[in-house]
This record gives sequence, structure tokens and C-alpha cells, in this order.
Amino acid sequence: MPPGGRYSWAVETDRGPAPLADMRVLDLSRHVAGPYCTKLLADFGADVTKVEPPDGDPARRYSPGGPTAPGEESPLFLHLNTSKRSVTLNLNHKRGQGLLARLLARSDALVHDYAPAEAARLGVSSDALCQRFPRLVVAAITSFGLTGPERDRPASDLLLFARSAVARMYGDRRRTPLKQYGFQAQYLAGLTAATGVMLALRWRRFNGRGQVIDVSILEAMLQLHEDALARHSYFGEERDRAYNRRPGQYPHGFFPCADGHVAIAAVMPQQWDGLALLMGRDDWRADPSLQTAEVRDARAAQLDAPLRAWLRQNTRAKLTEAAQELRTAVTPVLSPAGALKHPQLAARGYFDETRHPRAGKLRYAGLPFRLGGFEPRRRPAPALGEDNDEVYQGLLAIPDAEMRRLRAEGAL
Amino acid sequence: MMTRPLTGVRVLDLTRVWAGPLATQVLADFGAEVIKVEPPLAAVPQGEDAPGRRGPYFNQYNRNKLGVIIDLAQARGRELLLRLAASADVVAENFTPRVMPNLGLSYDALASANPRIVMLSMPGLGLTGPQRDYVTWGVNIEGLSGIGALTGYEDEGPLTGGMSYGDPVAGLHAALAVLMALEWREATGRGCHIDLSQLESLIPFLGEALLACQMGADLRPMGNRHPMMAPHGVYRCGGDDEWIAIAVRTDEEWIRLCQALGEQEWCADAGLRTADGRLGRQREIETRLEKHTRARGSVELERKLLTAGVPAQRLNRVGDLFQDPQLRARGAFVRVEANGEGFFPFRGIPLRLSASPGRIARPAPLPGEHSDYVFGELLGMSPGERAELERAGIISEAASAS
Repeated sequence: MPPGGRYSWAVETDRGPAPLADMRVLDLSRHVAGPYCTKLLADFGADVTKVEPPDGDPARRYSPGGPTAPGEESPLFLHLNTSKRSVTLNLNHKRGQGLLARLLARSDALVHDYAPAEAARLGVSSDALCQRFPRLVVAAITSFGLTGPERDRPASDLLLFARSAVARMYGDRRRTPLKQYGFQAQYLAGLTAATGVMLALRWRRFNGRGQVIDVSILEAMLQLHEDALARHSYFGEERDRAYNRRPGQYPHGFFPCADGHVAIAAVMPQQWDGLALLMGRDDWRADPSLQTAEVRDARAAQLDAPLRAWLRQNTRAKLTEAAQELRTAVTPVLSPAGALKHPQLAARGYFDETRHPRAGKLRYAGLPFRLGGFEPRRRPAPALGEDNDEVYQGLLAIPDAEMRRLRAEGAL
Repeated sequence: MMTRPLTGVRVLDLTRVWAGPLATQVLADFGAEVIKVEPPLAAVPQGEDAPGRRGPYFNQYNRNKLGVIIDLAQARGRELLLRLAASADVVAENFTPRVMPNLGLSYDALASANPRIVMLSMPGLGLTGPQRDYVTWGVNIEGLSGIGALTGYEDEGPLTGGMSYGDPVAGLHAALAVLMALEWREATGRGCHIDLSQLESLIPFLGEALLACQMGADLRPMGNRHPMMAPHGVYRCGGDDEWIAIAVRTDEEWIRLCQALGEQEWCADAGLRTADGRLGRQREIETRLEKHTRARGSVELERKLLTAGVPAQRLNRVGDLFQDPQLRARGAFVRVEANGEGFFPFRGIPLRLSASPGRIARPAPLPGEHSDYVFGELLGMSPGERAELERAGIISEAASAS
């Protein structure tokens, strides 16, 4: 392969190259936020090289069911690193730094997740990189951002749910506030950063210069507050956690039924009418005082018991079908296994069946959106350092003897 | 003049409520000219966010946009939209899939007016498939995706909170999709139709769970616990509804926690020195930990634990965010004038680009506020023509006339 040439699995479509076919990204990030950012770019055709420390991205050892067993693949890593290649590089080694610079010279964008103090220690402080590589776009995804008094404070998804007040939205008023499942804060920040990379590269097209994208996970989370921030600002209103229902509107939330739960949003008059019609409650339909979701919420104590009793006699499928006939927003609450079998997702060919050499054939979450007729051909997540030869010898043209020395010295 | 990343990009925005307006807000924040096309006032529900008043919800998600009123239910209104589409780069909508084709505004119709147009459609379940016409709100998307079933207290059913989580996730993916489509257009010379199913955009946020369940894991809600760290939770403090989150990531942090709380017995307990040992005795640890936290104020305890090197965070309320020292130092809130009602702090632009930052140039538009620019300048309509369309109820220049 010629230096700078296209890699073997770069996606082609019947409309020519993939949407991001011209983009080269170097990814120093670990865990979830940065890898989700570069996954979005890679799945749409960008050429992403994941640079891992010699012991690998810690996500390789994480599973939602507990630590991965020896020899077992991490579902988190498999999910987040499709369509990327992996090289190992020891940034604490002086020759590691030289290799990093050579890789950066061939990249359009760098994504990393080091807080400022750590970034400076590893030679990836944003300002220094921008000076040295004026066309490079540097996206730094950190808990609190690159500036401000708490820029180096440790955090985690849980702590960021606490800090951002999003944990105040979930749970029972009398019990512990909750975070949502998984790594929502990090996914959200990764998504925000991908948008930043696209914006910065577009700007570079006209202005010729790279820049720094500073994404604070905490600030990304503020995007979840719907109107709570604005309402506090206008009216001083404080939001409290909601336990399976939306405050101020009824019915809106998850409700138990005969075989699980359904999600109901019967907020608009037509939807409420549909629900009351299905329940055979002509009195509710006729009652003018029940026509707004706000009033119904105030009278929820009276409405809730009959609604729940009726739901318990019906299955998710039956409720969904009957309500949707009347254009009322009722749908089943599914487990991930249920989502994998959902007929709408199946009909759209959403899940992407990919064979991984060790994990075998699995169905992966598909693309979050479809661009025209673009169909990706995704490569499964790479093994640690799987592409060292291709990148260091192919792209950087490092001779065999030097490769042996770099390995022996622990630079890779 | 300093250009923005999206200077020169024109977006016709037919979206409503949260997901769609958030998507176009991102574009507007970075310099796109977003023209919000609203239906006549009579067709819009009244209330706090009614068009004439422009309450917090509308103002939060429509800053930096221009506003006109066009009745797309009428043929001449649709003609106006197609004329605007001829000079636009993007048309964004979040109706159910049958609405735009029924209006004669399908992607094919728009593309024949302008082959370079990018059309963003973002229905709940996508543009195709047997359930494409299902009515879904954010809470439905949360339930269908599987995330609701994994969120909640241990040993309980699924949990949703007070917000429509599907909406912001879809909206932010939609902004990215538009940027990718514009990038693709540079290479192909053509626009494309973006089919964003809100459900399909949320599922990647739990993609690891999908794979884990195929690999044999039995996943259930685990409260605030973590599969590999303990203790990892939110604990009650002294005071009214005060809480602290503590995440012990390493064995070293565990010892620091024990020392900070003066827990000699825990320090000495060899069984608790490893994550495995602590994971096996979580209930016991949590019960005793909460005795410590209840005896202290959340602010004082957070300071004490941080000083000791234990990751801890008091639970903020929404109002606390406006006073948060880190957010203030970074200017995360911006005071924006809300249409004559005074200046209010709004969430700023979370994406910080050093050389081409976003900016908040104007508050959300009043209904029809930018009729002169859109109808007069862009479409070159005469005052007489505009007056005739106003009389016929095709357009409304409500605010610009007053």
C-alpha cells in the first residue's frame, strides 16, 4: 500500500466514496466518549486509527455484566470500535512521542480525552499541538473542559449525573436519585464532539486552519434539561425527580400491563380521547374538565387506579396495536433482547450482523441515521495492535529493523 | 468579517418542540441561516409558549433563528416553500412520515426544485417499515430502545424520568447527520434524504448491552451501582433531600474513603481491599456508608472526601447550576433578551471551537418577525403581493407588521 493510500476496508458506495471518505482521524481516547465520537466518524467512512497504550483501552476489560474473563471480548469495546484500526503506542516512551508526531502530521483530526494536566505530561496539550500542526483539528473531551478551576477534577458518569442535576430527574422522590443505565453522559459528549469535528473541518475547508474543540461532558449534559434550565431562569421553578411519569402531565410515562410495561404519552386531546375510548370510559371522554394533560395530572389520583387496572388485563402487543389505530402514543417497553427482535427494526434492517474473529457473529446496533442510500461495510473492532505493521510500516514506512527495535524498547 | 463554520448555509426549519429545533439550533449557533417556518397562529396550541408570548421553551430552542409564517396546508403556501427551497441547502422536518409527501413536499419534490438540497426527516420509527406511522413521543422511544428496562432501582421494573430522553439524543444526532450530508455533497455534488429514526439513534447509546445480552449476560436495572466498582452510589446526607455521589474506582480510593470517615474496622478488613470483595458485600457497605453520610452536610462531606482524594460529588439542583463555579468560569450560561420580557440566563453553546466559536446573535423570533427579509429580499415579493397573500391567509406577518 502506498504511503497515504486508502486502506483496504474503506467503504465505497454506489454513489462513489463514503460520506467521510477523505477524513483521517487519530484517536487517543479511551473508554466511551472519545471512542463513540470516532465510531460515528468511522462508520460513515472516515479513516480512524485508534492509538492504544501497550495494555490497551480499559474498555477492553469492561462488560455490563462485570469484568471480562481472560480471553473474552468486551461488548463495550466491540460496539465502540467498529471500522477502526488499532495500533499500540507508548506515549511515556521518548520514541513514542516521535511516532505520535509522525502520525499527527498525516491526520486531519485528533480526538483525545486527557484532562489538561495529564495532556501536558503526555505531550498532547492542545495549544502545543495547534502550533505544531496548524491544520490539525484537536477535539479534547474532558469531564469539566480545558479551562476553569476544576478542569483536572476526577469524575465519572455517576458524578456527572450528580453534578449536572440530571440525577434529580430520575427516581422516587422518597428514595435515592438515580443515574440512567450505562454511560449516557459519555455517549452524549462523544456525539457532541463528533459534531464539533465536522464543524471544524468544514471551517478549515474555507480558512485553511485547524483549531481546538473543547468538549466538557458536564456542559454536554446540560443539553438534557429540556426546559428545566429555562423555566428556572424565568420562573425560579425547581424540578424534582419523576418516578415513571412526567410531572405536570397525565398520563405520560411507563405503566405496568399484563406482560410487562407500556410507555404511554396520551397528552394531546386526541390521544387522551383514544385512550378513554379503548377503556370504554365514555364519562372521561365527555368530561370537559379532563381535556388537558395538566388538569388530568392534578386529578391523577382519581384516574390512575382505573387506568392501571385496565392495563393489567391487556398485553403490550394488544395495547400498542389498539392505541396506534387511534393514533395514540402507546408502545411496549422492551429489554435489549426485545429490541433485537422488534419487527420495525428488523424490517428496516437496522441491526448489523458482523463476524468478529474471536467473539463470533453478533448483531450490532446499526447507524443512528441513514444518509441517502449509504450502506456501510463495517469492520469488526480490532485486536490490540492489530494494525501496527500496516500503519507503522505501510503508512510511516518504518523499516523492519527499526520496528524490531521499537518493539524491543517498549515504544509500541 | 469572521466566518462561521456554516456561514452561507440556509436551512428551512419546519420542526417543532424539542428534537428538531435542537438540531437546527446547533446549526444556527454555528452560523447557518435558519428560517423557522411556522404555521398560522390559529393552528398553534395556546398557553405559556404561545407564539405571541414566546415562553421559556420556545426561546430556549429557537435562538439565532429567523421566523416566518406560511400555511403549508394551502397550495400557494407550499409553492412559497418550494421557491425558498430552491435557494436553501437544508430542509428539516419532524412530522410523521406521511405528512410531507401528503403536502407535496416529498424529498423528490424538493430535490427537483433543488438537487443540492439536504432533507432531514426525523420521525420516531423511521421513514420505512410497517410501523413507520406509529405515533411516538420521547418516552416511547426510551421504552422501545431498551434503555428504560435497564434504568431503575435494583430488582424493580423499568424506569423513565421526567424528560423525553429520546429527543435530545435524536436532535444532536440529526445535527451531525446534516453536517455529514453537507460534507458528502462536496464530493458528489448532490444532496440526500436523511432518514433519522429517533429509536435507531438512541440504541447506539446502549450498544454494549445489546451485544452483552447476545453473549449471555442477564442485564437488569442496578440502581446507581457499577458492575466493576464498589461502593458506587448516591447516599443521603443531612438536610432536606440532600445527597452525595461517591464512586470508588480503585482499592487505593477505598482506603482513602475509610480513613476520611474514620472507619478503622473497614481499613483493617482484608476482604474489602479488593473490588471483588467489596462488590460481594455492597449492601453491607452501603448501609454503613449511609450512616456516615446522613450525619454530615453534603457540601462539607464533598469537600472532606475530595481533599482525601475520593471522587465525590454533591447532587446539584437545577438552580445550583447557575452558581456552579466551573460552569460560571467557563461562561456556560448566557443572558439573552427574551422578546421584551427582559434578559434571562440561558444555556450557552456547549461546543467550544477555539477559532470559529458559535455565537448567540439574536433571541428566538417573534411570529413572522422576518417577513421582510424572507418574502421581500429572498423571494423578491412586492408589498402588494405580500398583502394579497396575507389576506388569503397564506402568510402572516404578525410581528413584523406591529
